[in-house]
Amino acid sequence: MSENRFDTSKLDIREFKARLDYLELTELTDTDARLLQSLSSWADSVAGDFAKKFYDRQFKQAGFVKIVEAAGSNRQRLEGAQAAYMKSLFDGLPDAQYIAMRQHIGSLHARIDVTPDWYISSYQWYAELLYPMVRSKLRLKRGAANRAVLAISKLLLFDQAIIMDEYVKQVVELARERQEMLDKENTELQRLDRSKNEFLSGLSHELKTPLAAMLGFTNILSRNSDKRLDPDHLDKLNRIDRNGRRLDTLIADLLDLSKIESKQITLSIESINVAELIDEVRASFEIIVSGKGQSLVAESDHGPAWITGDRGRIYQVVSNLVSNASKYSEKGAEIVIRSETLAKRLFVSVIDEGPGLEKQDQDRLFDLFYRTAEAEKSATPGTGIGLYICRKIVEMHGGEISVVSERGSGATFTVKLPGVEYTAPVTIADDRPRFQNRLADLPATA
Amino acid sequence: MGIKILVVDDEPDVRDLLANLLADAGYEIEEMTDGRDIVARATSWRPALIILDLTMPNVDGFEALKLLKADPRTAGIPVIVASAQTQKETLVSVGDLGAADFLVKPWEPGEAEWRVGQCLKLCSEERAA
Repeated sequence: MSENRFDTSKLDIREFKARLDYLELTELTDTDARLLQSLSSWADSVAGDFAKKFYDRQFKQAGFVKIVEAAGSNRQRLEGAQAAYMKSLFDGLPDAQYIAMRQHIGSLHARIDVTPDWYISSYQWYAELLYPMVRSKLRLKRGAANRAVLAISKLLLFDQAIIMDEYVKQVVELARERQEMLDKENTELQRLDRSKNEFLSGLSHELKTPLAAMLGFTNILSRNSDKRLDPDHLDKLNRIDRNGRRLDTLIADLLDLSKIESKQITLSIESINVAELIDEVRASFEIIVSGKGQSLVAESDHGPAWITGDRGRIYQVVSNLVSNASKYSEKGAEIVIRSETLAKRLFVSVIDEGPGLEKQDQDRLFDLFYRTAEAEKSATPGTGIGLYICRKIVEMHGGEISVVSERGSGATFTVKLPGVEYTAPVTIADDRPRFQNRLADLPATA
Repeated sequence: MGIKILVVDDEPDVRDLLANLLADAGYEIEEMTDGRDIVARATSWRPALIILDLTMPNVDGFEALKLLKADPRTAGIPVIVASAQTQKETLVSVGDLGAADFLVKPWEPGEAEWRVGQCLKLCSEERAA
């Protein structure tokens, strides 16, 4: 920082005395004080040169000069680093640069081995070097010279304290400004986030309402109550229905994704009977799976078990895995939902006999928008959102989701959840009006 | 005359769809495009059940539901809310306002008729009890 901060000659004598009072050196006369003032400013400017000229030879072997030089040059570098650090605060450089800067300052500190009062120590060196000079040049007695040097060095420390104080103040002020800026940005971001969510919920309503009409009328036509449609017409209506429902699922996924990404998703925690939940999933897929000539089996290695979590969300995860298993399996394939417990952990696996997954796909399968090259090539419908949502939901429950597979021999997706209980939970009566079928109230799954 | 159902939805296609489905199922239908004068209509026509959309101009579904439940003449008519808004908060709040059931748009084939049937059955059981 600026060198003139050290230039005590710019202080008037009253201020100088005030400083000395602060340093409890009040026994000094005005003459002493004046002498010290001139000495200190002089010492500050010539100490480096002095050290070189008078002590080079004498202290070379002890390496003192090198230390003084190192302290001087390190001081410059440190000041540079600090200035840059403050600039980084001000300009709002990325955190990585701020950290690098701090590390740089830290290493400089370490090199002169005086952390954190590095300034003080380098000035103490100057003060020590001053002592013989003060004695010889000013012909002061030993005690007076001691006192003068002490006063000078303390004075220099005092300057340093002021500088550090000011430095801290500046940093605090900058930090405050930065905080204000961030608060302002934050408020703005929250506002944007709110309007984004309002937009999304409005959008989903706008998308789903026409879809409801399309699917509903398709359904009325498909009943073929006046027998005017032939099988070809009915097949085409079936395609309209299927694609409409895919669109519905996609809208639900996009909504879930936006909730997850904006951390708006909340879990309704309750006790879930594992076997009941799995049976619900199995039952809801029975028609779809048998329609594709596949079979769906549920297996379990444990007795009654309960987990704590959001029933709808866990249902969504298992459904998603079963839906995928069916989607990627051939006709005649068997899909197994297997539930296992190990101590307090529950493992729900969905096992298929599909084409399996390459190693590089397994690593990235739960990433957002990731789709395997195979799925893309075979034009299997999908968006790469479903498994990402599954992963997020499982993680919100403190669990993990993983896949084990080998190319050509199926895949096993496993959801691991903590906190299994083996006794029925105590249920609390809830007299809130209940809708008839909760599952239909939940967003559809991919 | 069949059992009377009042369908309230601002989307003509969705309204027609519900009217079609429910007329096919043997119900007698009247339609409204929003919640204005819903209490007067419900009092004079006396439907056995009301299907109510949420997002409507003028008087929306939430407001209409409150009006129906606040009036002793209409408070006993079961209301099925039909909406694409599936956020938990929405489901809970219409439940708290006194809706008997929720029909998520788009619904599954047969679901609308099934929910109406179940709702009427539950209500008549409650009255008998």
